[in-house]
Amino acid sequence: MAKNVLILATRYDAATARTFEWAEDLHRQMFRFADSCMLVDATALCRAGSSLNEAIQASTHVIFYGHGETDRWIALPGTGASSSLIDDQSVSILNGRNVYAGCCSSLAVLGGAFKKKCSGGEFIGYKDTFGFDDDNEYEFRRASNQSVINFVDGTPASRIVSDLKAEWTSLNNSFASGHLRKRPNAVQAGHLADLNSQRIATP
Amino acid sequence: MEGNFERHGGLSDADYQAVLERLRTWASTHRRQSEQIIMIMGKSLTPHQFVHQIAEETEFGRSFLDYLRRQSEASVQTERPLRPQDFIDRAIQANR
Repeated sequence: MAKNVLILATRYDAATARTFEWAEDLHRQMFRFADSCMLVDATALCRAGSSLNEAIQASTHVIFYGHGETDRWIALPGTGASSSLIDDQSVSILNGRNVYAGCCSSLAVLGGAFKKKCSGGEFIGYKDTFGFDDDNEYEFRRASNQSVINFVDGTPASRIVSDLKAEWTSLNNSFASGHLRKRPNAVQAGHLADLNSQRIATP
Repeated sequence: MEGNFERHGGLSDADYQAVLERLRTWASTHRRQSEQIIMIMGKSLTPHQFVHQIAEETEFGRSFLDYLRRQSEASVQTERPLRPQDFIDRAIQANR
């Protein structure tokens, strides 16, 4: 079965500028694991237009790096439905796709709507905020991007979640008492890795 | 943010004050003190804003204090037990 990956990412503030770099890194690596991989700056996409739908329909896996809320992925800064990339009302656009949400909180409502309205795909996301420390972002990038690669490579979502929980826990231990304990902001980074480990899940 | 964390994240008043004092030192000596470095997607924080979260005991602040308490308790099993504030001292040292 062909694997066609669509990476949607935004970059309009300090956090998303960094996660856009993660998306670019993932894009470069993904050619070894997928038949095709597109990286699209989602800031330019509007859910009312056809570009987003066409890109999703051409894909088997949809990855999002950016800001999220419980019921949506955010395309543009600001609030309101007009800034949504995909929300619980438009989630059917993801029908049949395997979805990885590298953002805050979208597991609860958006992931729940995906489970209810879509068939033939899996959804992985965070049930509350997702965080990283910028001075140690490489460690967070490595863990997150590897889990996306494993997902595209065919590992079931439940295993991805258990593996990533273990990876975030290991990273926490490394920052708290292991070989990364003397890094700048190590205790803050450990705390964020610990929170991430509690929040990655499937609907 | 989930979790109903205790006051001071379960730390004693003395440990909480010691942690807060050291966090203020950490923030004021940080080489990127005016930059957002703690990336909570949607609410990124500078070092001083991070300390504010702890001083105000927001839900995020309490979760950090709770984390410090758990790490300190876990270290009791090791050869070098650490107080909650010792983790911040390490972060201050890393700034130098």
